[in-house]
Amino acid sequence: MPEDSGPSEIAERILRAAGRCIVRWSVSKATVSDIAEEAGVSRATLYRAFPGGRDELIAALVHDELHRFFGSLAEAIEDSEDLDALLARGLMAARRMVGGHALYQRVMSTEPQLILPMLSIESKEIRALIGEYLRPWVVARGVPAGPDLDELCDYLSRMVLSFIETPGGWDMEDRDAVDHLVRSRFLGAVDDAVRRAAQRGDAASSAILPHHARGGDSAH
Amino acid sequence: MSGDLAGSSLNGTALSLSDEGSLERQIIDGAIRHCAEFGVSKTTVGDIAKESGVSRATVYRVFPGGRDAVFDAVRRHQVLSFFAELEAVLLVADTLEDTLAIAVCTASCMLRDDEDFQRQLEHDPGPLLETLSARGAHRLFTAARFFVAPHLERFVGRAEAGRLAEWMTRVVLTYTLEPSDTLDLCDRATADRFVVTRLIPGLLIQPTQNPSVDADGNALEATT
Repeated sequence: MPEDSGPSEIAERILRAAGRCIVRWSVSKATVSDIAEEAGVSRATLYRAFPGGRDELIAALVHDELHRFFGSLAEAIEDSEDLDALLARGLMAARRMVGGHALYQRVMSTEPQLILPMLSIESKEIRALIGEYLRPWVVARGVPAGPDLDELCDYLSRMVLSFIETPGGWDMEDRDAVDHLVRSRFLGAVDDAVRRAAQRGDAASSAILPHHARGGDSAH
Repeated sequence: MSGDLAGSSLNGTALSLSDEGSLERQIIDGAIRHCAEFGVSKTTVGDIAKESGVSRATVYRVFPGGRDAVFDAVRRHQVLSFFAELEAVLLVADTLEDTLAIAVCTASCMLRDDEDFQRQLEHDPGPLLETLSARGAHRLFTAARFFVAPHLERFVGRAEAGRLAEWMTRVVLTYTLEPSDTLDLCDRATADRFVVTRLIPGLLIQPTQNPSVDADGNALEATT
């Protein structure tokens, strides 16, 4: 099996089985034997795939589920027409997906203390992924490459994750509310970066500024 | 406005502000002391009882929910103390930018300098993260609205003040739990720049009597 294409087929099967066992019994009560049986493999095979045992398996499951989640999310919204729509659709889709994610809902309701540290370990990588995903859209809006762009993408991804995890006072099922959220919490910062770049007379930015973002008259 | 806590009309679920039961307080203090030394995960009801100088039966009588209820009360107390301390420093600010920058900077520094908080984050993050995320975060947002939002109302109006307080709480949380290599909100100049470039531009504010930003989000000179 190619090493850089994610888990092997056996590992995949074991991970999916682990997910099912956890939904059924919770993290603390899902044993290696349960998982091996559910996956239709021997314990020896399971330990070969995950030499670190249960802990390694759970960590791998968290990693895998996160990547699947954001992969699906990215696919669902990549045909958005601009950054505004991308963020609005992304936040709404993400909330729906989180709500319907049996495994996430299960562990967060019964054993959040077990899972949250694992999520937090993955957080830096996930933030980087989201930042990279958003970058071309932010650039298209008129923010030139540079430290401000990096910091801005990092900030946007942090806010995305924050709102996915905790909607707070915002009704994420209401498109108008989400548009308002996107405009105030995300786009304000982006358009300010565009404005500052334009004021600097940044040659790169004036070359690529899309028409609607030129001058001080951003689409609000 | 935020002085009379006991008479507040908060719906009471997130913040219990009554001062009844010195027993309750005694037990909370005992729990805090034991956790500070041994960590949350290694603190049982028995430990709490012993440290507080009461019997286990008493702990269960005062906190029928047991250990979870005690820790919930501990967290509530810690959140209240934190925000009360934070609010005190906001009183010196007289522009919107200053208020936001001071709030974000001070909160970040308080958390950075809180040995108990940092120790938990490093050695026993589970319970701490549970308090700060998803459902636990609501308690923080409520506290932010109660303690911080009143200081923003005169600049942005009531509705936006509450949302802004929530937003600032998210900002402090994320950069505290997942520090950035390039952005340190404990540095006042950085906090100022952050406020002006990331927070202010997105505000949907109606100009108030003392506008501190113009329609484009550019800072106006403070008028006295």
